[in-house]
Amino acid sequence: MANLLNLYKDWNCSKSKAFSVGRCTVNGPAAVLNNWSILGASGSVVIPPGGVIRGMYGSAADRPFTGQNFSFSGGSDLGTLKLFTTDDGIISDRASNLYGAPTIWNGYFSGIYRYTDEEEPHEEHQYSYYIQSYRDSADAYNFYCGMYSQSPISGPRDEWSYTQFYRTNDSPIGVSEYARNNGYTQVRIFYVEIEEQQFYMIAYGFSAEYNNILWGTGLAGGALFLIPEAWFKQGSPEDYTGSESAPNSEDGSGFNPGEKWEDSTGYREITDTNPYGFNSGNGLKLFILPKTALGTILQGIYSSSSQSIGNIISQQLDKLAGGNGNRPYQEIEAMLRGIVCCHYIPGLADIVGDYMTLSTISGYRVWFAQDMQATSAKAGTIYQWDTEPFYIRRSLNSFLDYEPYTTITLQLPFMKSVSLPPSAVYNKWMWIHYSMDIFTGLLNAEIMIQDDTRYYVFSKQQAFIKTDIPIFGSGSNTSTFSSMCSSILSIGAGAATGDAAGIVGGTLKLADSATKLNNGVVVGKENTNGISSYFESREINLIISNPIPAIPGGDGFDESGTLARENVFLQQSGIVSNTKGKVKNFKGFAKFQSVKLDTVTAPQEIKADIEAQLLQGVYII
Amino acid sequence: MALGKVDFYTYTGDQKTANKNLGSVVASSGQIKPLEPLSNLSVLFTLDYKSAAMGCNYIGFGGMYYKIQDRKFLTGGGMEITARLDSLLSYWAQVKESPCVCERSSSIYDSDMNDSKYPVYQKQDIQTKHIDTLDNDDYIVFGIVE
Repeated sequence: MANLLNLYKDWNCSKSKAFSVGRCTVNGPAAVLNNWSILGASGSVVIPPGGVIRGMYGSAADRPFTGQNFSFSGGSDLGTLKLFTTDDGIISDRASNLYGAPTIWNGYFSGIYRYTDEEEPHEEHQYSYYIQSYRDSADAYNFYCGMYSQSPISGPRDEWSYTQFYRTNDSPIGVSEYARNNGYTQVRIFYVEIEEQQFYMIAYGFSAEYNNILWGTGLAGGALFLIPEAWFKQGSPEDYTGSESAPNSEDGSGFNPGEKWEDSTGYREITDTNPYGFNSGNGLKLFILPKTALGTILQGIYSSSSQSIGNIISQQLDKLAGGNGNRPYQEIEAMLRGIVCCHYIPGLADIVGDYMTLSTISGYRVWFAQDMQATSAKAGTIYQWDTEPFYIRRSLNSFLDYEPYTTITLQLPFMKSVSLPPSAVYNKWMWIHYSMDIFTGLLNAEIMIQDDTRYYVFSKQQAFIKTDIPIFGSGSNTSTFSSMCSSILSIGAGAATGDAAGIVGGTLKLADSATKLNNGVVVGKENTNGISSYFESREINLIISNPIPAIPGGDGFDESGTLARENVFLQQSGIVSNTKGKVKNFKGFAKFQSVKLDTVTAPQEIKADIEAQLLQGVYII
Repeated sequence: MALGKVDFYTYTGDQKTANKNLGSVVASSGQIKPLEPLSNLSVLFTLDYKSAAMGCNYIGFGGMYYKIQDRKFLTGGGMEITARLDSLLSYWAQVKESPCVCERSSSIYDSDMNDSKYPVYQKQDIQTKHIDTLDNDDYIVFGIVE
């Protein structure tokens, strides 16, 4: 079915710099060698005679190309050049000897899927592909996913509407900061094959200089589609499962085409019966907003595809007004049932900040937790975060460092304080591993301890820290549905007359409780958990309670657990020894627990006297 | 009964020292005349008066060392000595090689073993260490199913 073709090399050219990659040599079967394409934005491309070069950015040149050697040269503003084969091939046949001198904007990752299935036209296909990148920043910064056809599109547009790409959101940048910092991207495709068409999904990296390239930018042949979606999955070079050593994240050396980073956890598994990979529908989308944005949640946050909830309501009411909606209330109810949560979570920025992508909706800065959508609806809502590690040293260097004399308590925000047995934590690195399910509001804190050779979870605490914001109330489909509908109808009064302010006003009315929240008042309804999390300290503190030694005239024990020799207590009372030996070994003060005087030739009465003195305590010089 | 001469010592060190260094002999006297049978631990006898022995507190004779507990100056010019055997010092050469288990020591000890005699104040020294602070920028999570 599908043929995996690898892009051997791409040369991303600075717009402002002359470009020359020199000569490259291609080895492989004729079918491979004779079919090459170059994707270039503009500028001159010198093609060796005899081959076929297809310019995808509007170039009309299909030039003969049969040689094994070829070169490119060009002036400024060449854009990104992509060289790839359009024929079936074996990776090993084409993996070598196709490396020119990279430019400073060199991109190191790409992959091409080509699917040709002329025998089974209109067959539905689901597909996934992992885009590999071993550059850790710039190359993955602007990820591009496109589709083109070798043949002009002849069918009606509707035929193409079944073809979809998926990615996490339609941000022009496209790849989360986390993903691009870790150089791993997953793209999946779901489409319907159309007869006699060949489709390619091309994904390749751009330098930061090309971040103005948007989805939908023209590709050759006119086979353009609406914004495709791809799902991006974070990974890291450590996950690399190739046969060779992991690629060098700096220069890309060590990379073998066809190998990939692989992290099998959390992917949406697409099957014939579950084409979207979710348990139902398109799945869960969570948006993370600053408190001040709550008042306009319902205006613009409903969908990343710019469908505001107000628009949706308006559409529903238009249907109602036009008489073409047979089930208006049910439709509205169904739509509103789609809102599955709205709650306040304190301290969330710290917890999920690294994963979020900033965008702007309705003038508000909105953090999209986009990575979660790469996984199942449930698992994808969980974020993890570690505190800086800390280290607890002994302070008294004696038994007083331990319980019951010394107590160590870890105070965790929103949770019960945790008592840490000193024996378990002294002289070890510790940190707190947080897991936060922003959907359920469950915060999990694992106290981690680094032992000599491993780390382990010493203790675990959990707390629900969310506070529900009652937009509709939990009984939206029953008891409060009527009041909800009345609110909607009041919105509709504005919408029907084209009064946008009416929509906004009505929306704000629905979010009235949220507005009060912004003013510091929490309005409780039936599904409000409580407000305790508002008032809790956000500090993570360690509290250590030590005894204070009261020995007469002496310092405490030093780091080796030794008292100063002149310490009076030491001289006159000694410290617990519990050591066996010969009497003469115990210089200074010595109080013996037992002594064996078998070899002493004294009469028994004298032996008893000797033993009594030794057991009472003597000085030995 | 002839027990040989008696050596007098002046010892100023700690009485609990097992292996006392008595120093040099300060004075010596003649034959001991026991006033009663000598026991293992205590002796009572008379000696000829020796002025040099006036300040001494230890005597030694027959390989044993005794701590002088009392002395009387007799009208006839002699001294009556009451003394107790310093058994540790007398048998130290054998005692020091004896195997033992030491309960408390000022030289070989382990500070991590619980020591009920080690004095501490009832009050405690409270220290706090700040680990981290969760951000005060709270957020709202809004979820939909589409």
